[in-house]
Amino acid sequence: MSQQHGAIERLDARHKGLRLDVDLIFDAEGTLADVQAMLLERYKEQVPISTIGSYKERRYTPQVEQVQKERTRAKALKEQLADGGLDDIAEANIAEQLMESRQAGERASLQVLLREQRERSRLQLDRDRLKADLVRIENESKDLAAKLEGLKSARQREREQVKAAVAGIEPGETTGKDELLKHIDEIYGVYQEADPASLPSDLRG
Amino acid sequence: METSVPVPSPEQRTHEIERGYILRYLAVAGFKPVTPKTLLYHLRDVRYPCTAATLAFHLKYMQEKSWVDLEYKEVEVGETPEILSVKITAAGVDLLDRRRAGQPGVSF
Repeated sequence: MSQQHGAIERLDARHKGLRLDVDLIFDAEGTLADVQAMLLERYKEQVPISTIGSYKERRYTPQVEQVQKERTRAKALKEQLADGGLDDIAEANIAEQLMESRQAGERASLQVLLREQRERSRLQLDRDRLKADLVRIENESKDLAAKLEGLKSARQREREQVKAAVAGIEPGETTGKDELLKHIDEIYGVYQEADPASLPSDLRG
Repeated sequence: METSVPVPSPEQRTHEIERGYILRYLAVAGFKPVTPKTLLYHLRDVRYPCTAATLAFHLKYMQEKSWVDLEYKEVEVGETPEILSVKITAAGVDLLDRRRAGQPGVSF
């Protein structure tokens, strides 16, 4: 496509969006006269029909055809590359590569497209595998947490059973009961600090 | 009768034109996904080049308006989601058709 700016492009530089309005009228299969009327009404520009016709022929139509051609080619290549086994995202990537090649002035190679598509598929597989690993690790972690919780509950129950058993000792056996309770607390980590006054003089703070 | 609408700033006008060209391209693609890079190339083709950040802004704006659907790339936690593809919605096609029909007050 020529890079030379035509009359409509020059007008677009003066009235931003004028060209888009022209393109939209052509998209809707409007006539050259429709465009001329719109330009006069909306932008107060009197543009000859021949200028509008030249824009349509040299700019609008080739640009629309280019877009359609690339989309069609991307679709055809997608079918060709993997017997139709690729998804729409693959087609979108192929279209992007075609455009990239055109803008770089290169011809898109089928081999390059195929290699890139394989690379993308491989990365997708790796990503899926990592995701599956993550789910597995999360599940294992949940299982471990549940087991730990079960162990804690069992230990708590045992402690309560022992305390309940000790609480049933006769009143005459008070001294023995207190010592036993203290011993249990020490074992289970509920040891209460001793009164400093009761400690030997060399251990007092 | 012409409907009175606020006059957009030159920047707003440029953004509106860029969104118009994005919608036109997506309409040609039908309801199939298009990569953001393809849209950047297209905007360059129609001589309204913009940055990837501006394009991302447009696409999110258009998603808020329900004109397009976005698909994001999967990212690690804490990373910024990147747009994988975009496709036009029925509402987007309707908007484009209303604008093509020259309805006043319809803007992108």
